[in-house]
This record gives sequence, C-alpha cells and structure tokens, in this order.
Amino acid sequence: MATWAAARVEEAVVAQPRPKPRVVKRERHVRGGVLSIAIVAALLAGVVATNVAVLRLNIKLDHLSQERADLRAQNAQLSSQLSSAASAPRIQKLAAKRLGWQQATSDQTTYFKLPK
Amino acid sequence: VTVNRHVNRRIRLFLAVLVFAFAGLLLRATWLQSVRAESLSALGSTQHRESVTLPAGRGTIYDRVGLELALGERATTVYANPMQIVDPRRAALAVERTLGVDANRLYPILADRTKGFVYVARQADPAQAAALQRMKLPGFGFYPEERRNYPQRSVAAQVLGYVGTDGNGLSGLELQFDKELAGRAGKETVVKDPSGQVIDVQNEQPEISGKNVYLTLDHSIQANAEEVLRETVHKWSAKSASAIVLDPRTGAILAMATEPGYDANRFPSVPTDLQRNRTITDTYEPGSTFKLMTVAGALSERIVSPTTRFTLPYQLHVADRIIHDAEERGTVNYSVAQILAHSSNIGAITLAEMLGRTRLSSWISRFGFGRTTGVDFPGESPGIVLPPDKWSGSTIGNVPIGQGIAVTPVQMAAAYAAIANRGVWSRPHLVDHVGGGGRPSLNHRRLVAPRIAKQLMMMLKDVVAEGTGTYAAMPGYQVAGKTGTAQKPDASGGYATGRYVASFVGIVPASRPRFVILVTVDEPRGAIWGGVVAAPAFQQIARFDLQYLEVPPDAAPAH
Repeated sequence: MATWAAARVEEAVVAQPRPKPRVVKRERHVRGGVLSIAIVAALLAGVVATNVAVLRLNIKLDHLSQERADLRAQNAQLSSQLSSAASAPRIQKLAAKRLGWQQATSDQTTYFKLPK
Repeated sequence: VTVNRHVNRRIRLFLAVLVFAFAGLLLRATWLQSVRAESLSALGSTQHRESVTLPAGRGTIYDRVGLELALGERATTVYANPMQIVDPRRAALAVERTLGVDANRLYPILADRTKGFVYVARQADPAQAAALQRMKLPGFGFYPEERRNYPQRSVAAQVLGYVGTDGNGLSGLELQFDKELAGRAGKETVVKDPSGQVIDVQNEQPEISGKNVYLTLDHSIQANAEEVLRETVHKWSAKSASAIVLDPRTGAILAMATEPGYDANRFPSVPTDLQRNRTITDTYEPGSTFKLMTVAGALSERIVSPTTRFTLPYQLHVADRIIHDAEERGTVNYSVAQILAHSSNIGAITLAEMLGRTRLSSWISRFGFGRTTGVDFPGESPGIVLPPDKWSGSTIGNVPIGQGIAVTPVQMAAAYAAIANRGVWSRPHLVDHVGGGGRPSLNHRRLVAPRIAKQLMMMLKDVVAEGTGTYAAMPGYQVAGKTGTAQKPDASGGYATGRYVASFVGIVPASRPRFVILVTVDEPRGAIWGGVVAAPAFQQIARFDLQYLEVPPDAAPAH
C-alpha cells in the first residue's frame, strides 16, 4: 500500500524531467534574440546600403546632368559653326574665289516643261 | 572588506560621473534640438542646401530653309566676393591671363572690400572660365548663362534685333517674340556634402525651353539683297539704302535689307541709328511710285480708262504752287497708261483733280497708307497722311504725286503686292510659324477689282518696257514696276536742295508674279533718279531671286 511519502517520491520521480523544457525555452529565446538581432542588423545594413546606393545614384545623376549640359552646349556651338559654314552666300563666295565658279545667269539656264 | 569598499566607492563614483556626463549630454542635446533647433537647422541648410536657377534655353530663330539665324550658346559668368579675396593683385592678374580682362581695371574692383559681390566677366567663354576655376582662387564664383549668337553675322541683323546680357529680347524679332523664345527658367534645390559634392537633387520646377521661331526670310535672298544694296550705296555714295522682297501671293517677306548693316554679334558697340529696320520704322516721301494709287482710284471710280487721253501742259498752277513735270517738254497728249509710263506729274494731278480730295483720300486709306500694316515687327510706323479736312489748296497738287505724304517701304511694297495679287492685299509678315504651332491666319482684303489690277499691271509693264524704268528690264522675264524720285523735306517745312530718295518698286515675272521688290536709296550722289539709281539694284536682286527659286521665264522657248 502506498504511503503519502511514497507517493511524493513517485511524484518527484515523475516530475524530474520538467527542467528540460526550461532549457529548451531559454535556448529558443537566445536563438530568437540572435535571429532578431540578425534581422535588425540585416535591415539596418539594407537601409544603409540603399542610402549609399541612392547617394551614388544622385552623384551619378549630377554628373550626368552636368554632362548633358556640356553636350547641349557643344551641340549649340556645333550648330552655330554648321550654320555659318552652310550659309549659301559663303559657299558661293568660296566657290568663286577658290574654284573660279560663277553663278549661272537666267539666260544661261534652260527650263524644261515635263509632260503630265 | 576595506579593499572591496574602496572598489565599490570608485565604481559608484565612476557611475556618478557617467550619469552626470550623460545628463549633461542629454541636456545639451535637448537644448540644441529644441531651443536652438530652428537657427541651427537654417544654418545647416545654408551650408549644404543650395537653391539653383535652371536657365531655360532660348529658342532658335530659323530662316525659310531651316538655317539658324539666331541661337543660344552656353557661356559662364564669373563673379567675385572682394571680402573673401586674399590677394586682389594676384587674382586680377590671373583673370587677365585667363579671360583677357584688363588687370588694371579689375584690381580696384577686387580690392574694394566694402562690396560682397562684383561681376568679373559676364558671359565669358566657358573654356577660359574653366581655366580660371581650376586655379581655385578664393572668393571667385561661376555660374552658367546663355549667350545669344548670330552665326550669319550681318545677315538680317536689323530684322533679328538682339538680346541683352540678361537674356531679354531688346529689339527686332527678338523683342517681338520674346515671350515665345524665352521659355521659363526652372528651379531646383541641391544638397551638397562638406566637400561641395552634390549628393541629392530635389527638383522643384523643371525649366521649359523657349519655342523656336521659323521665319519667311531666306538667308540667301537676304544676303544677296544686302550685297546689292552695299554696292549701290558705294556706287552712288548714298547715305543708306533699303530693300524688301515680298511674295505677293501670301505677303511673306523673303528679304528685308538695310544698308549700312552691322554684325549682329556686336550690337552693343553699334550706333543705334544703324540698328533701325528702316523698311518698317522709317517713313519717306514716296514720289512717283505713289502715282499708282491715284491711277488705281481713277480707274476704279470709272472716271477714266487706260486709253483715256489728256492734253497736258508742261506746268500747272495749283493754288499758290506751280508744278511741272520732271523733264522740260512741250504740251503732250498722253493716255492714262502713258501718264504712268512717263511718270507725268501734271497727268497724275489732273486725274486727282477729277477724283476730288475725298475720293482720293479714301483710296489712299484703302491701300493702307496712314495706318500700320500689322507686320510682325515692333515699332512699325503708320506713316503720315493728312485727313481730307486738313488739306490745303495745294495738297491736291502734292499728294497724287507722292509729296506731302510719308509712307514706310513695307506699306508701299504691300500696296504693289496687292496689284500683283489680282487686287487682293495680304498682310506682310516675317514669321511663318512659332514652335509646333500652326501658321497664323493670313489677313487678306480686296483693294481693287481683278480687271483694274490687270489694267494697272499692263501699265506698269509699259513703265519698264518704254518708260522711266527700262534699267529694271531683264531678258526672258516680263517686269512691271514704277520709278520714284522724291525730294527730301527739310526741318523748315520746305524741301532740301540736292537731297533725294530714289526708289523703284517692281513685280516679276509680270505674267505670274512671284516677287515684289522695292528698293529705296537715300541721298544718292551723281544721279538722283529712281530709274537710274534704284532700278538697276532691283534688276540685280530680281535676277538672283528668279534663278535661286528656279522661276521659269515668261516666254520659255519650247524644247
């Protein structure tokens, strides 16, 4: 017949494995903490990396807009030079001076009427 | 135990120091972030944020064939803060070496420490400015600006006008179309790091470039007209000369030339007198070219026909004046056509007297004299035309022959263009269209019946074939036109001795008019007659234009 004391011993024997889940829980907490720290760190690193990337892109954008302004300026300058060079009176003068060419007069020009 | 107590005391002391230090830092942080937050934030903003104006590119002005007549080029404006300049002498010498600015002139400006901003060079060459920037002189600043460039230099300089250093149109088409050409400047805020490197751009308002303006002018026709006028001014030692080449079918102005001209890129140093587009802003007494209006009125009112004949004495009394024809002759019997061909003053006055002052005045107004044509150019003069109630007794002897009346060359060219265009007047214009927009509506109105216009064209052909304008004739093409020689008025209300305006207005080819060309020569010497001075210039301009635009002759031989 079991006594109260024996029953307590039995209970104690049965209750013995209980501390084990506490260790598991603590380990889980530690792992969870490490994981959260890692996630936060990763997020922070991501934010920093994004900011750095944005910064780099902004710097690149600034360089590109400066380059665009330079190219536009060069384009305008070239257009101006082209306009001066392509001027018909200038070409006519050069043709007369360098090649001795003369513009044909109206009586030296023949017009043909094409049949419809 | 004693040792432990000492250690604990030190730890506590250290803790207390730390607590005090952190408390101090916390208080300081609170102070900075609350009480001084606004002022520090403003100070920080000025150090790393900068508001930049983005200049809008000014639109380009193109001619009829798409050649650039005016366009914007980048330039760099260099400024300085004399308060920050350490060595003004060295700085002035550096500027002289790179930008070519006189160091002696610049030194006192840079040495004046009472000023915080001075211009060193406006719109300098970007490469030269960059060379100065590389020297990293303290107190110097640089910003980009646009400089207007006229690559054709003197071609159409008076028509194009110019742009001031601040980029605003100040004269000519640059002024007329300033709103369209200018565009709208943008603004952006840039964030810089301590080294001045832009790390963020916050666009607030992007710039809107100006619209391009496309003209009806043709640079080849314009340059040729200017060349011909240059030779004419030189040949006749004239004061100046003007020419207009107009397409009578549309009113499009192909050339508008004034000599002497100037290089449009050097406008600030050019006398204002030369900068005027005289064909629009200046008036002159037209002389005999005005007789066409008198004849047109008389024909339209059915008072006469081209064949109606008149016996005309050499001279005529009109009120207190004696008026005679240009060349001494006996009494003649001229038809209306001959009156025009021989440019008879007596004949024109006879027709005017038949018309009467009211009807003549109404015809003058109908042809557009006394009011602006509406040409798209600033400062157009309406001319001077007396209303009929202010005419004196002798006015009927002056006005029909183009005296006592002042017109602009563009008014006269438009009036002749109406005759060439079968009696329909078109508003003369210089701009074909702006930007991507459509063409502005052309203003047309009928002046005379097609029959009358045809009769007038026949008479004008006679002027060139056998009248006063024979020097305007050219092989292969029929030319219609009228000569004019007008004495210039003087300050006392009379006419100046020996000062004339010689002119010729021609239409070519007369069978299918493509050009109306007006040439005026101011104060020629050696010869004064429109038929001698201006008609050959017309012929030279017309010959080039016909060839250039490949206009076949009137009577082309069959091949």
